[in-house]
Amino acid sequence: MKNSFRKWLLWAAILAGLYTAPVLFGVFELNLLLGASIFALFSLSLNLLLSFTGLLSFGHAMFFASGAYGTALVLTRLDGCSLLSAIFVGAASAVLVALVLSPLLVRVGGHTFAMLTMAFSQIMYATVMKFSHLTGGNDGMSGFPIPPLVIPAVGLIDMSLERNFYYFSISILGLSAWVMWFFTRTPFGSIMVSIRDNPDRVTYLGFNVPLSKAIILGVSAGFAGVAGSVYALFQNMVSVDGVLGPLSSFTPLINCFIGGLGTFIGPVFGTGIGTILLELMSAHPEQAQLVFSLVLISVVLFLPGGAIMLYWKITSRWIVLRNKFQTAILKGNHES
Amino acid sequence: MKSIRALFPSVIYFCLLCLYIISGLDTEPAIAFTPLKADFSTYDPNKPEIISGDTIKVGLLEPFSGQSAAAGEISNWLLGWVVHDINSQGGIMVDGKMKMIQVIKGDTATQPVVAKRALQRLILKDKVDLFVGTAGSHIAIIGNQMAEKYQKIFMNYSAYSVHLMNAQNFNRYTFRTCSTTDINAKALAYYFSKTPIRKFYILCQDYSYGQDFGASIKKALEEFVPDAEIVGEVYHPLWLKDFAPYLSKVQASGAEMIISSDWPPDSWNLMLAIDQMGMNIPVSGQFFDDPRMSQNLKNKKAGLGNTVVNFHLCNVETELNSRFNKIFHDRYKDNEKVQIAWPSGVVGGVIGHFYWLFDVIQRAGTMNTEKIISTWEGDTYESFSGKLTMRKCDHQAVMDMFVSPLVSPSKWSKTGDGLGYQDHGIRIPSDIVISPCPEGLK
Amino acid sequence: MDAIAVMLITQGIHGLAYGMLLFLVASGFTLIFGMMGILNIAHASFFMLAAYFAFQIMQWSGSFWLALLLAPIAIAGLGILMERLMLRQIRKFKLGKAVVLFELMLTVGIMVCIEEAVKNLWGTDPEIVNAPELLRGLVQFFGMTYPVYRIFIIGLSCSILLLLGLILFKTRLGNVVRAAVQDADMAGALGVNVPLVFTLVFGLGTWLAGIAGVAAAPMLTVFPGLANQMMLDSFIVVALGGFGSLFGAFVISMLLGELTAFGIQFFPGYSTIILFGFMALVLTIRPSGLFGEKE
Repeated sequence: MKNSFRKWLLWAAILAGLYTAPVLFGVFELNLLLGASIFALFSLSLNLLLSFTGLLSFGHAMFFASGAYGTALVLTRLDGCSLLSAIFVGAASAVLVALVLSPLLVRVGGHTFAMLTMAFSQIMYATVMKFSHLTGGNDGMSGFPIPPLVIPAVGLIDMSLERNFYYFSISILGLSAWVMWFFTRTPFGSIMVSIRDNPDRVTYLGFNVPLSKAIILGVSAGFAGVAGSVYALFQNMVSVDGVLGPLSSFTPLINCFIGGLGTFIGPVFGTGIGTILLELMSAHPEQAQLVFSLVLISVVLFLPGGAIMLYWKITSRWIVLRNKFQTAILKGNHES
Repeated sequence: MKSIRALFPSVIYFCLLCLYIISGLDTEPAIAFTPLKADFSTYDPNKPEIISGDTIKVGLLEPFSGQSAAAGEISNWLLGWVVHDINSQGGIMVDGKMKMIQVIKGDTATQPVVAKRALQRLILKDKVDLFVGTAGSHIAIIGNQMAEKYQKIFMNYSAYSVHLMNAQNFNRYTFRTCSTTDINAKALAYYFSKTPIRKFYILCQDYSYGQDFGASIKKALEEFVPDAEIVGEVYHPLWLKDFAPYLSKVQASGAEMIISSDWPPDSWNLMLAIDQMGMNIPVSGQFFDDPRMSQNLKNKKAGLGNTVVNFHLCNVETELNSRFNKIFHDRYKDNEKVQIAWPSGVVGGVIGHFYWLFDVIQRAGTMNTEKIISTWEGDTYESFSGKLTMRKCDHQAVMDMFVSPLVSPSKWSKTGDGLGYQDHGIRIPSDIVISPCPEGLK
Repeated sequence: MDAIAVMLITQGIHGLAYGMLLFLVASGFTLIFGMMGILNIAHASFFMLAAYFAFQIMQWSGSFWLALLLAPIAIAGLGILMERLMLRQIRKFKLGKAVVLFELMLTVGIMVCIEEAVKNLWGTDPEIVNAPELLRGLVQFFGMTYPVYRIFIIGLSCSILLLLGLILFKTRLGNVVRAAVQDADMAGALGVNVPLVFTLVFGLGTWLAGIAGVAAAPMLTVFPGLANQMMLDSFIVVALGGFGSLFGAFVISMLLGELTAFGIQFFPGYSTIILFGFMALVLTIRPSGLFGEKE
């Protein structure tokens, strides 16, 4: 009971912080915060596969990219498309990509899953470049119109104002994160963890493992798509390097590891740490990635639970936590 | 009587004040900077002088990390040259004050998203007065958009795609001082029309700039060399490892000249592969004169006849250019790190363009964006290799283009007897190569 | 011979040269994976690093042969350090099956780290390494000319391949290694010092990548992006050839080399889609690869 109260308190604190940010900060800091939030949602969606289902994806960017390109395309090609339906199209196209690929992806795990996702994201990269008349190729798509938000009985809210857009996107992102969190607490969430820990048992219990995996993949892709879609609106631009480049699949993975595997909220901390780190290094862009990679290596080597484990260690709850960490992710994964 | 005596000091003081003002008025025009006046022997782009206080802040939007970081370093070197020169003369008089120039770097990593964030930082946080850039047309288009949104001057000196300044992408805050793929292609084709070369092979990078250049050169050859034969056309991926299979294809096609848009490291790799395969088919383009590459060619035939097109070459005869060449050569002839002994191509060209930018600001006398725009539009400036004119309709610089084949021995090579330009570059007048104003722009 | 035949043969040799280089990199990759179950994403970065080492050694001494000797050894040393100090450290955590995730992420971190360190040490300008005088010119045969250096690469790779085959299949050490690749636990039970063999194989794998890096340096310029394409290509080789299968790696390397050369000739621009599509197909239908014996 106490634990759950704490969790609600954490959620409330994060929300309160996000909603008061525009009062405290200027446009630049606000943009930074929103950019970080988008990547936090992206990392959370990847974490759904990574921490809860035990699948390491090297190509999660393709779902992010589907969301971004879906939204950008519908806004470019379709006059009068509303804001929410543009986001819906983005999410739906990511889910569609996931569902099309799922018959191939659900059968494998471990390294094969990693390599297969990487192969698919490479194919997507090459395809986006080939259809440059549609996607803008290397130039990407930019400057598409961003429609105002229509709220019945209230009226139009202009999205070209930074503050309005911030409140809107933070709400979408927060809602998505909450739904995802809720998803992990449903009975289906437990199936997910069981698939990771002991897929055979799930089969004995009468659940269809490949089907369940496909559903998880779809959900994860859908939220990655929402993140991509908001990203396209936020930047008012989609570029192939930005959403499908070599680092775009690795960045959320790195966020998950730095934040802490085996927890839901870990990637949020990871993204926060990453953003702050890059910000601190902004005067020396040449060395930023080097420092970033060294942080990743040290986390993997010395702090396998990431920032969350560090926090737990500091609050001297680390023994409890270590047990929790080990039961949560490290034990008994029999999948090959 | 007493009161008059009391007035005396104040009268003297008043007279001194008048004298001071008059002398001030007298010397004020002399404060204006003149290019190439500073002592460049101490100039080092990696150790910029620390300048603070009330300055003119210039954002340098370039890749400083990622695959193209070398391009950013070169731009920093060139901008630093001009800033060093002007600052050592006391700066520029704007808004009634002498101000030094301060350069603030913004790293694009050649990725649009990173570039956008870097620009937001430059504009919103560092509060730059204007910004300059940049390698990559997909980055330059972000520059265009942000210049319009935040009403800052954006000087584009190295993105060549034609469409950047068409009716759709044009805005009044962006000025392009470099040439375009169309202009380069026309200059090359015009030059070829005076030579017997007729069989061309197009080998470009497979992305927008390479494809643009491929399209431009086909159009230009049709216009100037109607009997030209394009014996092959291939677009290769960026940062290609191995050019040999492409070159075997070129060899089999019977081409006399390869036309390529490649820039380093692709242009270097292409030349090295030609060298290793013992081919003697020359390459023409903008970046096939790089002395850092040509000094490594082992085969005597490789690189001979390479034809370079650019908006500036060191072998152009003007008085200013020979003075510039001498100063630059004295500074860098024995420099191990900078292998470029003569300021050719973009090196000299872009330095000239930066002088132009600051000259415009000096003449505008203010950092007011509108005043700078009205000063620059239609402005004419005498740069190293000739006149630069800023066309009002699409903010595209109009200038003569230069073509030069490479010969050996050349006095323009680092050692004086290696591969380099022929003695004198060929000037192609601007009215031959310039395209009319884009539709929809006046 | 007519021009078309000359071109076809030349393309064939180009493909062979690249395929051989690719095999040198991919063989180490697949050996390490087959033995330790570690997909070393940083493997191609060692290839790139070796090219830089070669450049640096030639700056100091001017001798290509010294570079060819020393750079791969230095790279193997780094590889052994990585295995001893890092990968082994992770295994100490007793992470169960999740160890795979951590190892993958570690190699990702090392890959980024090597690339960024190279950029900071040598800059991003391409560096040029000259082939030794002996290997510079062109060779004439059957009325066509071909650069000697590429022939040298093919010869060098063949001799390394032969040496590798002899060691693996004719010596006791080779037997031990092959046993450990097949089943590390069983080999351990039979008294083989498995950790030592692991270190040895890791060192050997990175040494092979090092040889390839030095050999490639004069053919291509040396720049930080050298690793990217090599990584993707060796991924394809290992996935298609079968995890841990040297023979599979050899066949697929050759095929890929030829496909790259002739792909440029006949269908430029589509090679990536075809290759990765084929890789995805094989991985789903036969996750152990075309020639693999085990997953």
